[in-house]
Amino acid sequence: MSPLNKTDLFALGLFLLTIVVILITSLIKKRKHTLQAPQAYEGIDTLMHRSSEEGKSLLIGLGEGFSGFGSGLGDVTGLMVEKTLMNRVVFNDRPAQSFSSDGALACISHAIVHGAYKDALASELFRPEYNQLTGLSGFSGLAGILPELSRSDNAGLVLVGAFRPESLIIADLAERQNIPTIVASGLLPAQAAFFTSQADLALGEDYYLPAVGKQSYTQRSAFVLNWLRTLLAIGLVLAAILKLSGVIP
Amino acid sequence: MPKLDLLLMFAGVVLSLIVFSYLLGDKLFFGISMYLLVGVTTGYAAVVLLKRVLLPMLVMPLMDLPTIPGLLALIPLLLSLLLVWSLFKKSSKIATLPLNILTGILLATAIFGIVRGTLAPQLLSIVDAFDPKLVVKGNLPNWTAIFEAFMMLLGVISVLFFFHHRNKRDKVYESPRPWMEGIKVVGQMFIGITFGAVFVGLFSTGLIALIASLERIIDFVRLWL
Amino acid sequence: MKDRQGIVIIALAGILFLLALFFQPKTSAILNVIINWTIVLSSVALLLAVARLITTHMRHIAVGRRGFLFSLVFFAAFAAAFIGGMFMGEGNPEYLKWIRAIQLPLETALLGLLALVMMSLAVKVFRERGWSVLTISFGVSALFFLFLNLGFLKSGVNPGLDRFVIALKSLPVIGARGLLIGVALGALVMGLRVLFGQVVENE
Repeated sequence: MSPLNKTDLFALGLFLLTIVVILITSLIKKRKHTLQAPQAYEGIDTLMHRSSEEGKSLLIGLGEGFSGFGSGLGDVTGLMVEKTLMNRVVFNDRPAQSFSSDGALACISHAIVHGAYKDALASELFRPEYNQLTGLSGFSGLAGILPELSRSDNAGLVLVGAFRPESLIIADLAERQNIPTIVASGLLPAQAAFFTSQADLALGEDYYLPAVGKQSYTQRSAFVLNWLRTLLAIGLVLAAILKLSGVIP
Repeated sequence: MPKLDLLLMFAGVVLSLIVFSYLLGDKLFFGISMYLLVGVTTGYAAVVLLKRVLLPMLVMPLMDLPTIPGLLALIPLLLSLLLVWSLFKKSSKIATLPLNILTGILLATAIFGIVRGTLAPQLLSIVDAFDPKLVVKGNLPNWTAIFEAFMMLLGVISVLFFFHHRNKRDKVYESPRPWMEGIKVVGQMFIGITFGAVFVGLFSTGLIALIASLERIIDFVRLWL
Repeated sequence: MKDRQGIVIIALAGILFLLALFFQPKTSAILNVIINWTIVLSSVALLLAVARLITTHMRHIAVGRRGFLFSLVFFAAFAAAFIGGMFMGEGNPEYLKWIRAIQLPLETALLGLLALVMMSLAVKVFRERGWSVLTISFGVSALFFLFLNLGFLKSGVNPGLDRFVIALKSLPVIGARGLLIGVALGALVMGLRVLFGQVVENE
C-alpha cells in the first residue's frame, strides 16, 4: 500500500475537523434566526407570492449535473429550494415548472415534484411536464429553457444549481421579458458572468445557504460555516508562521 | 465543393443567423433553432449511452452468465429495473432505492473531490508560499515572494470573512467588531478583481466564437460573389 | 426529505463509499465495480429522463398545445439523430458530419451571442448593482484585463512595468482561491450534513 502523502493527510484532517465542528455545533443550543441569511434567496418568497396572486407560473432551473460537475454538489441546494417551493405552490392556478439538464438530477427532481403533490393529497394534479429534462449538455440545457421563458405567463425564474456562464443568456432573456430572476450557482465563472445581470445573485459560499422557508437548515449551516471559517483563518496564520520559521517542513 | 458540403455549410449559416435573430427580439426562429439543438444532442447522447455504456457494461456481461462479471451485472440490472418501475409506481418506497443509492454515492464522490481535490491543495499552497527557500534568496529576503505570500494570506482570509454571517441585530456601521467590517471591504475588493478578470476571460472566449460565426457567414457569401 | 428510509439509504451508501475512497488503493477493485454500477445507473436515469421528455413533447403535439411547433422540431431532430445513430453507428463519419453541421454552428453562435449579451450587460453593471467596493473593483479589473488581452500593455518595454503587470495579474488568483475555499467549505458542510441525515430541508 502506498503511504499517504502530505495532501492526503491534510485532506483527512480537514474532513475530520469539519465533522467535529458539525457535531459540536449541533450540541450547542442556539436561538433561531439569529444570523443574517444570504439576501439573494429572500426574493424567492416574493416570487412565490407573485405566482399565487397573479396566477402565473414559476420556472426553476436546476442546472446540469448531480454528478459533482465543477467542484461542488450544488444540485442538492437546487433540489432543496425546489422542494420548499413546490410544497408551497401546488395549488397555484399555474403550477411551477422545473428544468434540469442531467438524467439523475431529472429523476430525483421528478420524485420531489411528485412527492410535493402527493404530500398535498393532490397527486391527480401532477403532470409530467411540471418537471422536465431540458437537454443533456450545457448548451442544450440552455437551449431547452430559453423558449419556455418566452411564454408570457411567467411570474419569475429561479436558477439554482450548476450553471455555466453561457446561461447568462437566460438571465438576459428574462430581463427582456421583465421576469424577475434569482441566480445561485456554485461555479465561479457563472457567478462572474451573472454579476453583470439584473438578477439577485448568491455569491461564493452563500450559494450553499438557501434561505427559503423557515430557514432552520440554513441557520445551522451558517453557524457551522462561521466556526469553520474562523478556525481555518487561525490555522492558516499559525501554519504560515510555523512554515516561515522552519518548524513545519 | 461537393453539393452535400455546400448544403451543410448553408445550414450552418442559416442556423447562425437564426441564433443572432435573438438580438432583434425574434422568438419563433430562435426557439426552433434551440429545440433543434436539444433534439439533435439528445438523440446523439441517447445513441452513445445505449451503444457505449449500456450494451458493453450491462447487456454484454449478462450474456456470459454465470461468470463473475455476469453475476456482478445483475445488481445494476436490478437497480435499473427498479428505476424504470419508479416511472409507473411513483409512490413505491422500493422504487426510490436506486435513486437513493445513486445520491449517496454521488455525494460521497463530491465530498471526496472537494476535500482532496480543492480544499487541501488550495490551503497547502497558501502555506507553502511561506517556505523559507522561497522567501529567502541568497541570505537576503526575497521581498517579491514575501509580498506575494502575505497578499495571498490576507486576500484569502478577507474573502473568507466577507461571507461571515453577522448577527441580525448587528448593524454594518455600528458593528461591535469594526475590524471584521474592514476585512470584509478588503474581501470585496479581491472578489471584484477576480470577477472582473474572469468576466474578461469569458468575454474573450465569446468574442472568438463570434468572429468564427461571422467568418462562417462571410465565407459562404464569398462563395457566391 | 421526510422519508427516513431514504435518508438511511443515502447515508449508508454515501458513508461506505466515502470510506472506500479514503482507503484507496486497498479498495480499488471494489471501487471500480461500484463506479461501473453508478455509470450504468446514471445512464439508465438519463435515458428515463429522455423518455419522459419525448412523451411530454408527443403529448404537446397530440393536444396541439401552444408552441407545439417547437415540440415537432424537437421530435423530428431527436428521431433523425437517434435513428441515424442506431443504424449508421455513433462513430460513422457521415453521421457525425451531419450532427456537427447542426451542433457546431448553433453552439458557436450561442457563444458569440454570449459575448454580445455580456457587453450589453457590462455597461449597465453600475446601474444594476450600484457603486460599491465590489462593483468598482470589478469595473477596474475588467478594464485592466481587457486592455491586457487586447495587447495594449506589451511586455519587454520596461522591466519595472513588466514586474508590476505580473504582480497585478496574480491578484485575481487570490480572490479566486478565497472563493474556491469558501465554496468548497459550503459544499463540504452541506454534503456531510446530508450524509449524517441532518434533514436537508428548511422546515
